[in-house]
Amino acid sequence: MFVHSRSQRWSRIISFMALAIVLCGSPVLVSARTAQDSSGGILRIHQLLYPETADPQKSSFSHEISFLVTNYEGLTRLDTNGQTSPAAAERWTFNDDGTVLTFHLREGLTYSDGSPLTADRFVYAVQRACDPNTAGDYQYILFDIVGCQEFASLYAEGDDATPAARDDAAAFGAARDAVGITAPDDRTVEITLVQPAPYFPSVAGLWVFFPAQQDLIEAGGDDWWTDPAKQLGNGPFQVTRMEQDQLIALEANEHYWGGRPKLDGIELVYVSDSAVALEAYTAGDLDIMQPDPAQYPAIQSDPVLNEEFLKFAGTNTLVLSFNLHEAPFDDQKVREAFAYAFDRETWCEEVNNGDCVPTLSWIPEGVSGFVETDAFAFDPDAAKQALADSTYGGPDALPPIEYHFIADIPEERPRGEWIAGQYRDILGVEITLVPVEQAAWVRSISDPENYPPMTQVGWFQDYPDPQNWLSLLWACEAFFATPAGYCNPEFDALTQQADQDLDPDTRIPLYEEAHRLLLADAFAVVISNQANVFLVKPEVTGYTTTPSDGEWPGEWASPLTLDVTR
Amino acid sequence: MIGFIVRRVVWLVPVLLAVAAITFALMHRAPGGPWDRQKPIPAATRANLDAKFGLDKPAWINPAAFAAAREQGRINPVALGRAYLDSQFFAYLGNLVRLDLGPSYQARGTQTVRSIIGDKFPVSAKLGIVALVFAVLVGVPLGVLGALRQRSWADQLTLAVSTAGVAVPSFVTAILLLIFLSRQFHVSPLRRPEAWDGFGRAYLLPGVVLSLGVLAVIVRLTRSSLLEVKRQDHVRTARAKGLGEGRVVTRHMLRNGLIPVFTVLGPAGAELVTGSIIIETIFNVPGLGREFVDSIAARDYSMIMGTTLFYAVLVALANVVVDVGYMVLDPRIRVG
Repeated sequence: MFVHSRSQRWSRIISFMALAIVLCGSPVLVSARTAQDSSGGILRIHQLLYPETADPQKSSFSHEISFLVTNYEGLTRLDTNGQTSPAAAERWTFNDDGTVLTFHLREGLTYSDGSPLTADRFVYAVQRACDPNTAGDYQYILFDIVGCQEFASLYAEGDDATPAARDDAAAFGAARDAVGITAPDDRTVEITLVQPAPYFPSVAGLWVFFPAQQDLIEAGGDDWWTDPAKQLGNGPFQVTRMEQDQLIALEANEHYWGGRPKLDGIELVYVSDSAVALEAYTAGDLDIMQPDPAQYPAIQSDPVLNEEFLKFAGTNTLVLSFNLHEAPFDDQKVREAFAYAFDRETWCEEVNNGDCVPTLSWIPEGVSGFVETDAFAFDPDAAKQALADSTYGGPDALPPIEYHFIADIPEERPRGEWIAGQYRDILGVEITLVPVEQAAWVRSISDPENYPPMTQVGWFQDYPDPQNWLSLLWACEAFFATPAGYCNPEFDALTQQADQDLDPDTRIPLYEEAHRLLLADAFAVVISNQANVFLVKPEVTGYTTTPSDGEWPGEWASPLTLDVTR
Repeated sequence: MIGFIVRRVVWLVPVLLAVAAITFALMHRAPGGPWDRQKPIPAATRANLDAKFGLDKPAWINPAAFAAAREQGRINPVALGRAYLDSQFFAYLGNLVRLDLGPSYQARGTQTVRSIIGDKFPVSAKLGIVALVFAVLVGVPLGVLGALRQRSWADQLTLAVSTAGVAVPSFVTAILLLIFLSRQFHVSPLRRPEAWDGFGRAYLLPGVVLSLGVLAVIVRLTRSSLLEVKRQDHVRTARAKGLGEGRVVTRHMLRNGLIPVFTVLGPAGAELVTGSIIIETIFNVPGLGREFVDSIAARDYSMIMGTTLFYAVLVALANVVVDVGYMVLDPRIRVG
């Protein structure tokens, strides 16, 4: 999913100032609370950014989805081990060739108001997600379903097809009905796939499948999602109040199939300035907060806050990506030299205040497809040797190299300077730092013509399957590979075979082999997994963290057991 | 006077046209667009979004549509002109005339720019009014005090405070104040959403911090202007007539001395009511200032256009008010 980096633009600048103040200020006071031990109250969770849109078929950012997964539920969901497990559907089956996927819904499923939740609600969700008029950011994730891509492209100029007129209701209806999802009865959802897609049960747990109701959406117009009464959900909690940029309040859903959650409710409190949030947290006005990396040293030097500091690896990977179309990074040996010369430990511990965990594997540990590797671990001598072995023979013949970074994020410049300094000291290479405004940078990394010579990119997992890490990103025609210029036919053949293989025992090894190929090609310098970092009051209990919990601990797998005692 | 006001308001039209054209040109020159994500959106979805928001049309003029219309044998100049101007810019202007500012791209079209401005501007405006009133009520008396007791300790103190007001950035003052109040007096740094309805106490703290910059300007301007007036003949005459000090100050000094202050109040007022991203971020005020700055980073074209034009109208109107105010304050001034 997408993660906003603009999120903390202003708050970071401000936090630097606040940090200085906190460091020379008085010791943090924890306000006295009247001791009255009762559990199951309201959990107050800090959020940095309010959703731009909280429409299940349109949302794409992690701070929008954290609200949606609390209010709704798809056919499947992630369990505490980060694996796909039953949710609205109690079980699912593939047909023999793996192209028809049948979900069997639980008996007596209802929305939070007790009204029945039937299979046709999921059919509507998928049809709406594929609808060309919806045009959500995650439309493409359903293109494995027969007819979805055709429906989404109904009005687009194609190579072989003429676009339908926008007022042609018959063509629209036909395209919608051709989408391969049906409800043979109230408790069965049948999905026809373009090709075998063993990962698809994981996709069926994503927000695009959330069964927001057709009549409520249509009654509410484009901004239906801003009205809590129209956000009638089937998740563990039901939203009751939405105040833009301020607060979203949810209460326990008494009708949830898994039983009522322990908490009476959750309040998502939107505070975009981290210094203010930290002050509110220490004053006892927030139970969970997301600190800013600039605040970590101050937090860790405070005995109380340090105890409440929670850090765990996320399912994401950060790499230093190269433009493989152009010299010098079209030379494998040059890429290897840059990969060997990157000191990941120092990067995470010192440059990033411990905000990340070093890694050499593109797929993070804990996700299938992960490979144990020591390829291109930090080794200055091997780095120099690799550069000497390149067609350039050493640093002097290299063309000028630029490193592009997002100018809007204040910490990016010192990080870039550290990287340039490392390469100068170890390889003797001079790197020019180029600050780029955020929107321009985002455009450049999807553009093969203007891909930066060297820049940092990251990927945050959508669903726990190697397909989401390999085929979707690094096949020749994929999101990351095309603009960066990576293309390995052998990799494509392996991932294509694995994508359609229904047997996990043969499928996963195929991905692992493809993954090893990718790493051996030195497609980029694999650097780190960004950590999920929170401050959590000791009164908060009952959560098991999963690497996907980017907005609060227990976000994906522990909504029923999360608890707060006051 | 009525004629003057009408003329000034009519002048708004070309001013807004120019602002619209410049903003439109600049934002389309900036690289990147509203649908750019780290993970690119597929071509089909992108085409749907472009069509939905009219971004599939050319930016300024549409010769292709013109040619197509001619081939169809159209000769009606209105129809041909329409085809020629069937572009993003002129479509925007067409909607603008109907006060339709379009959908916000950031909200993926789920909210209109007009509804966002309608929701958020009142909050920013209330905050700005609090700040402006505070700046005038505190700034003018302090400036008068400084001028009347020139070089006294009160004057020095006023000068020091106003220098600090200009020199210390508002985010430092804001965060210091917030932390101080929270730790010493257990004032929560957070507000419930309902605190921003009406004219609640929640506006007090951010309003005061927001006013500091303008307050400092008012103090210094009042002081220097009064110092000049103080030495003028008509003041000496008033004193010689035996008028009381209070009357000399209010009737003879302030009325002249406040004209420069009044001049800055127009633009300053417009600036205050349009919201400050820093104050709104720190005090978590649901105002328009944040929306404006965020929209630029997100290339939310319609939001950028909408807020820029809205601000342009406000600044222009504030200037009209100032000019009218001149005539009331000083009958010798004739404008128009």
